Amino acid sequence: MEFRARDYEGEEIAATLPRAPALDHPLAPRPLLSSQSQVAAACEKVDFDDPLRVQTTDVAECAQDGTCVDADFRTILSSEAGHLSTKEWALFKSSLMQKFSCSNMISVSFTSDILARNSKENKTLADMHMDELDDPEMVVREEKKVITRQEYVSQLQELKGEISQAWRADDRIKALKLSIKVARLLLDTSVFQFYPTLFVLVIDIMDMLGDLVWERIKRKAEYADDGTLIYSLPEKFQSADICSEAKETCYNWFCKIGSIRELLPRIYLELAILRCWCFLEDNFLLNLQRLAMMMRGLADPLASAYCHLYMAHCARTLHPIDVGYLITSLSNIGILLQRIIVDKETFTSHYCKNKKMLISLMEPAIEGIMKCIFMDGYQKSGNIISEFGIGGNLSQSTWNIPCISVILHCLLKQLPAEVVSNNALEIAELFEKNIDISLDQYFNYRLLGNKLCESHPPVTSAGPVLDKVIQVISQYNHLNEYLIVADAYLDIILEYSMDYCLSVILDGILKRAEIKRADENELESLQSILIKLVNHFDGLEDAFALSHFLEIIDLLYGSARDITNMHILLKATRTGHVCDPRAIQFLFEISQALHDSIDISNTNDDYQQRAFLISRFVHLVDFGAERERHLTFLIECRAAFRHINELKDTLVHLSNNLAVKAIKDTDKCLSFLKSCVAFNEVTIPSISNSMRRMNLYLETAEVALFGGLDSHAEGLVNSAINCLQCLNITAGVHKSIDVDQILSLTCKTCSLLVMIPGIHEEGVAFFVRSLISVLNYQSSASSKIKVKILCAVIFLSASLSQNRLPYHAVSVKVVGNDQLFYGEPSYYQELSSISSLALQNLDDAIGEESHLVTRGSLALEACNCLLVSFNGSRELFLKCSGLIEIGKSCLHPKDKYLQSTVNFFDKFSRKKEVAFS
Amino acid sequence: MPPPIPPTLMPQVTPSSRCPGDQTPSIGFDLLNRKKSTEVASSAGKLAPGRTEIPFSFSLSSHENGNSGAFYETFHGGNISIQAYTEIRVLVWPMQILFIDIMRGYLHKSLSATMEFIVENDKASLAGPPVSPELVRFYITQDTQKHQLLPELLTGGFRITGKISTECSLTDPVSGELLVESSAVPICSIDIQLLRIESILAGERIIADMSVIQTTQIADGDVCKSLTLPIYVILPRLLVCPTVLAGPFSIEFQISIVISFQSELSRLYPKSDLRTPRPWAAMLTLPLRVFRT
Amino acid sequence: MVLVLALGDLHIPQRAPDLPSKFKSMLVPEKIQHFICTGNLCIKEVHDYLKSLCPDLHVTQGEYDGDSHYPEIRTLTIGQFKLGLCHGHQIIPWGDLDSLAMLQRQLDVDILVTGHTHQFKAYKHEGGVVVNPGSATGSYSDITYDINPSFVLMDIDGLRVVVYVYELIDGEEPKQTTQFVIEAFIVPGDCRRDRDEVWAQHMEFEGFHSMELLEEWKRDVSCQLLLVSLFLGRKNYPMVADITSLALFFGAAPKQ
Repeated sequence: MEFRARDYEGEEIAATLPRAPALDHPLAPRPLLSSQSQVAAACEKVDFDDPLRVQTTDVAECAQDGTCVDADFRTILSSEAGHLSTKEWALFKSSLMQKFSCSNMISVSFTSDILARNSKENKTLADMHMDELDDPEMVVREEKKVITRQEYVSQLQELKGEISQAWRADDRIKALKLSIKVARLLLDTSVFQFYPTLFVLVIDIMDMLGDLVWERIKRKAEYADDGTLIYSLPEKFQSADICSEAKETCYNWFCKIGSIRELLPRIYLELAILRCWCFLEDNFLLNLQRLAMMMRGLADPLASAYCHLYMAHCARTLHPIDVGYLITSLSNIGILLQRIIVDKETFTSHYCKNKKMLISLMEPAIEGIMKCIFMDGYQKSGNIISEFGIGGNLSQSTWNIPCISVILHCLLKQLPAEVVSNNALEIAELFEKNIDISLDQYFNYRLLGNKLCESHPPVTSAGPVLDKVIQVISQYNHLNEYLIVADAYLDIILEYSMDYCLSVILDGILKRAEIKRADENELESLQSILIKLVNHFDGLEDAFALSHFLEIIDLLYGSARDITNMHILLKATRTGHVCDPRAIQFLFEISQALHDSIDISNTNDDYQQRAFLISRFVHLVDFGAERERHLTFLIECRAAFRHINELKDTLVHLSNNLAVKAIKDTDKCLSFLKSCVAFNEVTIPSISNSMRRMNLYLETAEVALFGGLDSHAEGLVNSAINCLQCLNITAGVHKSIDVDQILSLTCKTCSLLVMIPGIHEEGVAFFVRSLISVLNYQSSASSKIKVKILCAVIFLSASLSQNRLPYHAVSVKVVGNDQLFYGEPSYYQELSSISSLALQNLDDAIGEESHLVTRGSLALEACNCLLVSFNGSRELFLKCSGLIEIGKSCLHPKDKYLQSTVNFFDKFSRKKEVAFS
Repeated sequence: MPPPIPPTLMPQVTPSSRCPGDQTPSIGFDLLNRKKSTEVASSAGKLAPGRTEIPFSFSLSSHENGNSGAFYETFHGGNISIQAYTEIRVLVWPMQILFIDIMRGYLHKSLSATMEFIVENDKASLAGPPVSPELVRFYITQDTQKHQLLPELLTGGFRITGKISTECSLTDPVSGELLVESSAVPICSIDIQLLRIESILAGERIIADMSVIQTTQIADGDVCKSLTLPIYVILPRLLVCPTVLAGPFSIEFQISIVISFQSELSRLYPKSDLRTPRPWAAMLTLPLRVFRT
Repeated sequence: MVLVLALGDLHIPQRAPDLPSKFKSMLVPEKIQHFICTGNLCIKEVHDYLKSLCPDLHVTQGEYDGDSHYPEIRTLTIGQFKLGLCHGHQIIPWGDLDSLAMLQRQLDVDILVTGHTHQFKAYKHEGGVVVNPGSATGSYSDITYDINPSFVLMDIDGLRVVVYVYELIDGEEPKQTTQFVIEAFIVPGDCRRDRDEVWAQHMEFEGFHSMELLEEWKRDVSCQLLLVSLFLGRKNYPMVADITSLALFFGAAPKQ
């Protein structure tokens, strides 16, 4: 059989579709974005159906829809405001429970023996009678029992179940009695860190009871005894709407609760059913004020703070307009705090030894109350700020609340950033005046800084505040405090480029850091400061130019150092090329530090990220015309980053890229080119993955061909084929996807061989033969692989046999095979003997395939290959019809591939017949 | 089918105020025994078989009782109870000779049931009570105490002042203010106790009995000095009635402020009654007039 | 009207740092409906970037895509056309029309998009269209380093495909975008579907339901011309049609 002669160029010209300049096109910039004149011109000339024009209107409609949706959404949001705040409360509760991790064991002093209820179980219902409520159960027991936190929680949950069960069984007295006992648990503040959790658990039960009572009274107001609806209460009803019977029941509940002896449970239970005041009277604000006053009787600051918090929570369901009662709450808590702070008298409380912990336990309660004030109150009554003495004339401060720094902190947290920044200087002065142990001042300064950054105040007002702050922190001796405050103000300093402040702060940091090595917290702040600096400047050079910047970086160690380094690298590589030699050197050192700190302890993600950043850096280094220097850099990288496997590929790619650039720009680059190729030849073998190795050999071979280094190219292709031999392409060893890739690469090798001059000492077709021999080595390779490779060999032989090859190496130094062997009979002989060898093997390979459909499609593939490659002859027709028969026997007759191949075959044979006749 | 019986219903209303004999046998006697009968239906006729409801009402008027000014309100105390009962009797008068023999057994039996009902004074009938209950100022120091106090209390001293209402409507809470001005010893608890005094004229003697009906804590722990604490005590229903000062008996109330100080001694008497004067406690008792509005 | 963007062979960052900025400014999200990429994106970040331009992204595996594991070959149906996608380094020799046609037969597609040669090509061959979008970054190829960055946008509307080529002439010098329109009128299913089936489909689409009528019309030459104009004139597009290939449907060439 002889190869079909092809006229690649002619065929291409015949098939190429005509091109015409387009006046308008879908990716043209929108009229809005382009200048007016262009638009006008475009409109004049173009009468094209602009696909985008339709779209633009679509987009506009979308935008309109968007605003509508937005508005709808907003109304939904506002209607859901109540719902949202419920969610917020739930969030607050869970954060409370998590905030104070405490030891697993809780010692419980039994003011109430509710938790040791085994004895109670035996009591009859008669014992649980109302009159028992009068019985002062103040059994002060010295003994303490230790139970686990889990037990405590589960017992309370059990109790909750029991209460609701009792209620459902119409035993409301029992439900109330149990609830009282639960509330009594809050009397015991000696559980310290568990108290917030206990509070959440208890108020959960209180809320449940409150709901039950509410529902019951509401039902009484709406339904008669026999269940008929007598009156449907509106959403916002008046007390006048309530029938006297329901009022009576409601009043009864308040009486029952009023008869509880102890103050704390009494207040909690009244708060639980606070909502029910609605049934009795329309103005219940007085009750809130009274309850807030009653809480003054709670001497324990912790119990008192949380009790106030519960009131704030319960009162929110009533939506009171006035938040005066909350101000009272705060002022009461403030008085208690002040007492703790100045405490010299022996108040024999269990935690007087640890005031700080006590205050930290109270802080969430204060914060919660403050939140409630600002949730409804701030918008409605603007004078809340002045209630706190801020914004008014400070010299005549109208403080109703003892100014305690922790309260100030909570207030500041809730104040809108604008309000804070408008009064920043006054607030800073307030800090000055109120230095107490309740909160370290630097927390307040940090908060002020954060709020300032949030609100972007004008530079004129930010300046004095910053001067003040810098003056304050200059007094700080401790590095940690200094760093925390400096970190908070850094954004604003950078925003207004207050270089003086910045240098003072950096100087301050360095001075304080010299005294001692930074600890973990300090490292964290340092890291944050450095990252802010790095991210702020447009170029890294500006950051480096800062005095002390590099020294401060040197303060870092460990993971903080790595993280900062990674940020610097990220920043450096985000801006595109890195050209400055000093920067390259600095980044190289950083990368090296990052690389050297990789060890087993690093997670895979961390490793990946580092490898990614380093490769990215190596990619972006650009020495411009100094290619030699660049190659040296690559060599340095190979040595420095030896642990990063992926980087070797990068280095090879980069050296190839360098070589191509050199070829493009100059003619005299042969020695440089050789160095590049040599670099690759050394680097590639150290890559473990054979497939990647083969790929890189092929790329380097291509580059060598560009430069006319045909002997190098030959060697590289040889190495690539050797890699293929190393690869075990037996199906099943690799994932199928890898086998596919190996096959593709083999095909690519064949296509590349078209350009490689066949002047190998072992004959013109040495490489083709070695490809076939790969198959012989790996006799267990699947028939699919064999067929594909054999077809590839046939395609390659057919191409090589052409008088003019489809493509040539660009370098004039590389002579194509068509010129090299033009009219050389032994060359054509060799090619045709290879193709007949392949043909022989092809039949066997197809026959080996046991899977029918695969066999069919392989036969069709072979058939197509033959039809494309060979001239029509009787032998070819016989062979092809044989293959088509195999296809027909294996595939569905309506199979598209089968049909198209048959069509193609018919057309082909018809053409040939015409030619013969 | 039972023969139709023409009935006559005759409820007898018997208000009676009496002391239950089993509790205080020595002084148990009927204070007032006022009885009154009202005939609800007297006309003869047939009652249809099945359930028959006959509504009735009657009025209690103090004027019908010559010997006393007013009805006392229902009250269940420790020693005195004021109760009113309704007795309903159904009298059946036989008219048919035919069934005489058969019905004889029933003839003189009347069906009856007794139920207690609660008497409260009609608001309209009440004479105008003092409209604005006055708050009475009080102060408690180591010098106002008649019993033995702890030495440190005596030397260090304490002063608790405030004001409290001594006349109070049944529906209103007892209100007032309390202020710890100074105290050498930390306070443990401040409680308000509601006391009831029942007295009975037994012959020539007046027998009085005092009981605590409610204790309400208003301060728990060592509260801040110079901080006004509110007093807010809801009067328990049923246990409190308007103050009664009748001839043969009286029901009066008192309010007592008890301040307990922290002391090692108090731990030794965990179950001690607040009424007992203890060296670590100071107290003040004021009369409380309760009235209905 | 559906816009299909095809590009490939970016080789970022091995051979080029990024897409040319001119291209980047053109490629804004939500303009195009389908995005096909022949491969050799090389890193995941590029994939993410392309995905952000159009979520309907189809990529095939190039030899430098390493561990990404895209499929070697994909087919997708857009409108009435079936598209095939393949990187093209597997074709022997690279870019050979007959080998591509063979792949097209195998995949049973109307439009085959391949890359690898880094040179824009658009052929009509054996009834189908073969498009090579070139290299979007203009990076060097296996054969040459003299490459203009280019990509392709296909506007598929009913039975018409307009191919817009975006090519930066003169490499990195002052960049000039030139677009060319290739109107490739191809009939879906050409040489792969039963003609009558195709006709029945299209006629149904146009509102012709009677096969008998259709057969009659097909025999009548003047009716054939009417059908052709119906076929083409649906949207009143300026028509640059390959009448010959259409005429094949009627079993004979139209009379001159």
